[in-house]
Amino acid sequence: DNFAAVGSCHLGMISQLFLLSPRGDSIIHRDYRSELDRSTCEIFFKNVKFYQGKHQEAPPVFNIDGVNYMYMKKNGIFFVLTSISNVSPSMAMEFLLRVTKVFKDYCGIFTEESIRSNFILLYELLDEIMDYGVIQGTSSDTLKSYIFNEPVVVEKKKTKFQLPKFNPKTTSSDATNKPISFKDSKQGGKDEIFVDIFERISITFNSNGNVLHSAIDGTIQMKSYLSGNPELKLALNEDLSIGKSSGSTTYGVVSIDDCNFHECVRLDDFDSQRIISFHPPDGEFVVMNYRITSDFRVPFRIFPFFELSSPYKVELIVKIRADIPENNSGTNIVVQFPVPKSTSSASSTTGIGVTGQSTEYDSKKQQVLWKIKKMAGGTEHTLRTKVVLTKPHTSSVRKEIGPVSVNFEVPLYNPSNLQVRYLRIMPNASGQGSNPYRWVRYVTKSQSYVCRL
Amino acid sequence: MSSHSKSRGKRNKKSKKEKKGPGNDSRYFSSTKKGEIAELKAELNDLSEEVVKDAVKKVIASMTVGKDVSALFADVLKRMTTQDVELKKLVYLYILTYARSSPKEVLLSVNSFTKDAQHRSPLIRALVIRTIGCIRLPDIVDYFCTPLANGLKDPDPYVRKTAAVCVAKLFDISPDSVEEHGFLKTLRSLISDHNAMVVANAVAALAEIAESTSKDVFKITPDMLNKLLSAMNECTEWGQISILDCLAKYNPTAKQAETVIERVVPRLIHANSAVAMSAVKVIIKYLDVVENNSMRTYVLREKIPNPLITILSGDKPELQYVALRNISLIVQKEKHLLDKHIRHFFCKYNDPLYVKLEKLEVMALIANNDNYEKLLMELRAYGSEVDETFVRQAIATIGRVAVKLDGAARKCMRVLLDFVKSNPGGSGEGKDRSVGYVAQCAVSVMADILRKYPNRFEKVVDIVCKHGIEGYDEEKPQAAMIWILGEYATIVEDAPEYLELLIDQFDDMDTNGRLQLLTATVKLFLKRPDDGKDMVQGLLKKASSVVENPDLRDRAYVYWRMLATDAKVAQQVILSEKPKMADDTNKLDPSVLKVLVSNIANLASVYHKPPELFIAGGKESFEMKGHSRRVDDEDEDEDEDEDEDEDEDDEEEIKEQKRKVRRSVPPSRVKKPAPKPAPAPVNILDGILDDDEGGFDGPATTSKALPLVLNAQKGKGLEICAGFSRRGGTIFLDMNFNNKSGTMLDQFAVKFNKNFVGLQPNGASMSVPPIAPGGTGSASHAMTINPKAANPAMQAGVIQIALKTKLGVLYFSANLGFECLFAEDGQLAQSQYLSMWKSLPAQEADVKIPNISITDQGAIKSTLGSNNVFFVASRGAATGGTHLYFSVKVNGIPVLIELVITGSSLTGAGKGSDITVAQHALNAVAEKLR
Repeated sequence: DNFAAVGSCHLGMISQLFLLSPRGDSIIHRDYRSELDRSTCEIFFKNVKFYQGKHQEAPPVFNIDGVNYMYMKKNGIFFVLTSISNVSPSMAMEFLLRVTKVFKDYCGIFTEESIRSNFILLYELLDEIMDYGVIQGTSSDTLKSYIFNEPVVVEKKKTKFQLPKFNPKTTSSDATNKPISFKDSKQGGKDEIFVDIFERISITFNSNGNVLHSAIDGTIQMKSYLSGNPELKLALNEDLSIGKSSGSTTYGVVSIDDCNFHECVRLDDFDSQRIISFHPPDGEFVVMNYRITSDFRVPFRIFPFFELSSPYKVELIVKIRADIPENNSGTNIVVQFPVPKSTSSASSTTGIGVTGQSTEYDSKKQQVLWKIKKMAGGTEHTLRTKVVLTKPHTSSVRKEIGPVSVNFEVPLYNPSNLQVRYLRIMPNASGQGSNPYRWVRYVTKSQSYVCRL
Repeated sequence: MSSHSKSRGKRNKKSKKEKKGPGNDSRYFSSTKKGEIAELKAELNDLSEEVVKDAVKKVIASMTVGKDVSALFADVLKRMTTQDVELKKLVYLYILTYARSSPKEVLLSVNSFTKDAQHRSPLIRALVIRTIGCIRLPDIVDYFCTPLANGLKDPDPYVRKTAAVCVAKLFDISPDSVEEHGFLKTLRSLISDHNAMVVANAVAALAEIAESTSKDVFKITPDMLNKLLSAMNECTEWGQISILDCLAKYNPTAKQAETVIERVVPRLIHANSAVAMSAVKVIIKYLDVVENNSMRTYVLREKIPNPLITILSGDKPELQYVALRNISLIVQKEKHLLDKHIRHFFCKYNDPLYVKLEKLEVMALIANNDNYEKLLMELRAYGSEVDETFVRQAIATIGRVAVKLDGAARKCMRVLLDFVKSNPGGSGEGKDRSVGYVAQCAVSVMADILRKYPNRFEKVVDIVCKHGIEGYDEEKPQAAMIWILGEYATIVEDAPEYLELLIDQFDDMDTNGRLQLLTATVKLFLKRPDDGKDMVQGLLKKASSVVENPDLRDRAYVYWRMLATDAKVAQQVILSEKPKMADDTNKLDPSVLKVLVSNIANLASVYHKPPELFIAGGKESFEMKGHSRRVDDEDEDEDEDEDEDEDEDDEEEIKEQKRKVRRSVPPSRVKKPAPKPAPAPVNILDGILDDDEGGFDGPATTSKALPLVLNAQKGKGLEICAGFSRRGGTIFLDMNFNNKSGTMLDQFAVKFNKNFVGLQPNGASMSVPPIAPGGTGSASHAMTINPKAANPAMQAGVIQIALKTKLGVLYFSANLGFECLFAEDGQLAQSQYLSMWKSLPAQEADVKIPNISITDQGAIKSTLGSNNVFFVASRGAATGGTHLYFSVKVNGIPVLIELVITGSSLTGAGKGSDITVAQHALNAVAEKLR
């Protein structure tokens, strides 16, 4: 008889959830357990705003006078949870992420204005999402049957950098800014599903342009507007290999280090045929995360050249080459690097007759920025930056320049070569197979893309 | 009919109004003018439900921004009778918000609640249950139980899951009602419900209740274990976390552990990192009891590392931070878990600083002889990053790696030397001459490495010094540089010249730099007397006369006298071998580490602090609610030197269970096995009575062992043992102090919280002789009892104490044994006793101890007599036992006690005008005979 009492099961008892504006005003405030008063908002905001610890910003979890604060910042808005018990902080963070997702699903976009416009709806949601500090459910799909308030759609403001329309065949990304449909989509809502394969690339190059380490963090994300919640089968590359130690990769085989899945996913046919099946919940959700560290085709290569032209002058030449297929192109490329502390001025030139590029020297941050709007596969560009110093350089000046970091986006391409072979929508019980729109997008983005000097 | 048209008219009006506004909820935020309440009132009473809905929304909006709309309460409440589900929901939303602030008024609406509890819509039925649960008043209980009982059996899972959580709410208000209605049993059966949300909530509610009571409401039996495991597959992700957390509290057999691990491993690839983290916790704990070694190796090598790294690879820094804090604990337990994966911890340039610093920490922890070269290359690159805090920490990490790994030290030193070389000082004067912070930081780290490996890096020392010794103007690097010059005076040829240069800056230095300079110069003189003689004389003179800093002056005098009397002794003292720099990468105390590892995936693992250090509110609020204490709280309060042989046969089983529980309790807090379980309030005083055993034999027994009431960690460096005793008619608070702080302590002041008897210190300030750092001290402080200041609601036997010291105010509680309250004038004559026994109410306190250690009548009388328990009479009984009659007096109230001793078993009865006092007194008396 092996008995044990659950003595102190420190479970996830959340006390309060609140949303603060960037100025610290409470926009939404829900108290679930009446253990704490409202002063927590102010205490939280003070500590975050006037943070004085060893980090630049308050860490996501901290404790003041026995109250635990766990927070996340999204679009400038603070999402904060408080608790007085030894809760799981991972759970708190995952929960906050889900809350932002649910809010986004319901409001379309996520801004202070859209929250204020929908706040009764959001309170209604918050009461369904959590009860007495216990998480009830965060699936927009399940929630919609309990929610009565209709969302108010707030127009998204045009931002400066808008994604170029990749392809006339795909709808623009704004299409996913519409809220999910709440009442059964009889009002003629579009029957469609979006599948995004996002890959975030991290590479560190040495000064010779060789790769020191590289990694892909991939996500298969979906947003479903399908009616009737049919079963889907998503087939990936048949030769996908998982968990093999990197290094010994066969050419052409996509080799994943590790992956994880949304809980709705069934993996019965995954080991044999690399097919995953699931009933997609409404709203945005991550089907699968994966991680790759084996070799892959590096999308952009960077070659820095360093010249000491005179005691008071240093020159840095940066060449960037797009190593992607010719019919793809990178967009919104931003190359940036710091210059020595003793810099008095920095001037940059790009190639003659080049358009769609701009350079900038931020004298406050002592950084040079080089923006390239679009870059087709196989092309290369060069930047020449002359730095004038206030005192003669020493041997260490080279260390003060760099690292060169690059941000970019490559639509319709993913370097891992992980592909959706097909997305099959299984006919539902009534036997009628619908043929909804299936938008499959591949997008590659830089994460930490750095060349050391 | 006419009303219909009227309402249509209103609706038109409303739509007109809507056009003016921005057309969304934010219009409800528009400022309240004076007439607005009246306007809202009118709208709430409108016939059109659309208008009413709008009005309710406005009311809720006003509430959320803190406006007072209580005047509208009745008007909103009236609307509860609506048949429109949306409006009903809105009204409930209002009540829910209102209930939290003014529960009493909401009580008015309970009748509508009862009606709605039968509503055809499950949404409304659930809403009723949820709302009643938020009215935190005992009065609500009567209205609560029926809907709740029905809710738990409702055909709709949405209602059942809401009801499950509500059981926890009810338990908080009235634990007895929960028991009465058998809700716990229902809750346990809901673990096998076929709906995932119901299962999740049942587990969460049970765990919550288990946390707030000492009763075994959620006992995990092998059967329950299986239930939980199968529920885990059916559960929502959040429910899975609850179940995993429960599993983590269970102590499995080797076989069970294997089964559970097999079932839990698939959770590691859950996209929800909290599920993965909780799974890691269970697996790490269970692996400790697994006997199958190959399984252990397989799981640790193949299953755990990748999911942990995957959490780090996402673009959610908050999740990464939590994971990293956990990883830095896990790798201290499982040392080789991630050492092959070090590159995954390399910093990304866009990581937030808090993530970067944690990555550095993990890298230092998992560095070994195979991976350090890769690591070092990476750390070297960080030296040219922009963020100063990060760069400094990266350089410090190089030092930690060098100190940790003998084989890596040389390469680390080379990297640091490069930093020094590439960051020279300017050639100008003053500030301009200071070297870059990278070099400064590198030099102070170098000094640490030199301390660990003396005489190994002489060449490096020479190069560093040649590179320039001026320009280190930060406190630590400057001190490090001076230390190097003194320590390596024989190797650095120009050491005298360098020191001379630094002595010129003596006036600009801070105390630490000056002290270092003094020592370094003396060292130079001892090692190279010819070069250092003039210098040392000059400096000693300067330091001992010119400067008004006492530390500096004293040290100068000591050196002076030592050098003047016996240079050899001086050499021995000053040049003696110093303690080596210790590796700090496994700095956590093993017992603390164990506690923290058992808290993986909880906040304790982020703070790297045991939960009791930051969960402040929990215990107090808990005691205020009047529940009996939690199992693990007991450990803290118990005496350290108590005997173990108090086991009682009939309590063996409970004890055995408790011991098993104890295994899951942090070992640092487990001081010894519990003397007795405390399921009933009767036993609460048990431990206390023992604490003061032997405290009655005359005055000033402060040297006796007292229970630890505050450890040094919680006491800001002061360890306190304390207990109460009664001497010569006065109660004393006896305290032993152990000063582990760096501060000289004197001037103590003491204050008590209101307690069950009204015990107060006789004056606040205590006479305690000053206690030096590292020293101990003790004190006895006299007490008085002021029954008027008593708070009977406080837990009996516990006195909450605040002690003001130079370290700040320290809070702890000490146990007051009930026998301390027995007055010296408690003797009653036989006749008094008899008449009193008859006149007192019939209710008797009772106690039963099957095995007492003192059975001889004379011994009993004298033992009790010394505790102010006075013998009145005795008689033999027909059953062969002896009846003994005693009297005691507590706060002026006599308590009559009858003890029946048959062989070695004792039964006792007690009577008094206050039955609780009688019970406590009786327990205390019986306890003396154990």
